[in-house]
Amino acid sequence: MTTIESMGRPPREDESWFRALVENAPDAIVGIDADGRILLVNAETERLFGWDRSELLQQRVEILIPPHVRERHVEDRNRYFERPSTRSMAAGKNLTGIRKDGTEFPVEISLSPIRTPNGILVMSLVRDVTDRKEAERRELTMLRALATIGESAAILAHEIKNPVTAINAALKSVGARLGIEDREILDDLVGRMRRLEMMIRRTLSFVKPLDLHRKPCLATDLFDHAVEDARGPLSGKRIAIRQDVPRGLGCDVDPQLMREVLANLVTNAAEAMEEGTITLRAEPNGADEIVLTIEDDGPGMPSTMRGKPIQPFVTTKPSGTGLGLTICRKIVEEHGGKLVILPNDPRGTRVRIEIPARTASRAP
Amino acid sequence: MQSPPSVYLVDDQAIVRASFKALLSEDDRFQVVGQQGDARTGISEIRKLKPDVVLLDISMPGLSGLEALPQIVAAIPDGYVVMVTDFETEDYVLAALAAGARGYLSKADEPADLLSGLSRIIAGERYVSPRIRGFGAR
Repeated sequence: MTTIESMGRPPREDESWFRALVENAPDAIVGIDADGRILLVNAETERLFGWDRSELLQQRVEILIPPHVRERHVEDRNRYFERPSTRSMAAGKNLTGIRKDGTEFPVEISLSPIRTPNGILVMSLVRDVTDRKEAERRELTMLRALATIGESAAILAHEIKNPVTAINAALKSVGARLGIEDREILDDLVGRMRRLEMMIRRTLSFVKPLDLHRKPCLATDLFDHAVEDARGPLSGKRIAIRQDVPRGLGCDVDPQLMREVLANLVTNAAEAMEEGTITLRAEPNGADEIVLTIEDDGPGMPSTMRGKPIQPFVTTKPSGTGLGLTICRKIVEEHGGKLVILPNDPRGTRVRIEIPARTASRAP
Repeated sequence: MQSPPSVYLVDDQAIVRASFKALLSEDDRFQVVGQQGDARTGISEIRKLKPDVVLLDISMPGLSGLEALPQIVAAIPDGYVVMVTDFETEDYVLAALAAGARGYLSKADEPADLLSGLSRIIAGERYVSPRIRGFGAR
């Protein structure tokens, strides 16, 4: 039986073959001793890190590691040498190498210890994963964008539906008054509009309507939760929150979704100012409607947006998508309510939400 | 002597049930025969016990009081259901009365008002807490 032991020491020819293998390996290979001194590098190491091997040999391996993690690496290295084993280094963590010119790049490293007459030598296989990381980042960005586009498509379809229906109706009524020749053109137009309407309906049917779980909710509870959710944007600012809510005022809403709406509006108000007051008001409007208002005394909406209806993708925030208010409005409308944005007197913004108190109140 | 009317409590908050139980126990016009924190379980117990009066909260996890109301009204055709709640929205009062509630009390009512309201309901009156008329926007 042939075992590795019985094979004995490989002949010199085989050793040179092995050296050639290391030298030409596609990954950078760095061999270090227990002091962390580099005893061996291959061609890929020179290429990847930009050092000549004469500059690397006998240097501490930390020369290949960014300064801010060097100290930590020395500790990890010493611990590894106490119990060396074949494994990947800090699996799952983002490791970084540094080139001679100071540029850093993401790496993956696996370690294997080799016993030699002069002590343990640790071989590190270093692989540059810049391309893979970049691909992962792109994929993530793409997925996020797709999610936004999906959401936006639904909102857009929703936005387009009403005008299309109106145009269609107008075309039909104009058609009734036209001569026979023009009627043909009109019929064609009406046909095209019908197809457009069908496309929109199909797009909308792909999108699930909001699944509302309505429960009787007290207005004070809704506001309290919204303020809690907006704690982040409120913190560090001198903003007072005032609640003006009669006791016992409630309405049937989806507590999660309405909380999202109100938190979004409180966040908007908080982000618009450094100091001031946000007033949360609730009042009955007749017997079957509740009005919730969120007022601030901040700078108010920019004049370019004032008086205009809420539109998807229109934003003045550098990192905003312009979808927050659109989604708020959608949630309110699915509750059978209405959301409008008004200038506040004397300054600031006032968002007014009218919502039926009970589900059945507005049944058609 | 005829025994006082039996009262059953449905409210998800144990402290509220305990307070009502204590309040009603001190008054020999009423006797509490059962209580439940969950509306669904409450309904099946009410079907068995057939109390004279059910005090019903609105905001509860699971089935809300307004959702449970029709089934409870049907379970005690000779009894009365009285809403006892934090909600003072007029629309809730109207909805509850329309669905067969005999009275509507607010948890903010004074205990004496709660008791007198309750005894008026048992006497056959429809009764709505005076707090709610404050909303009279109609």
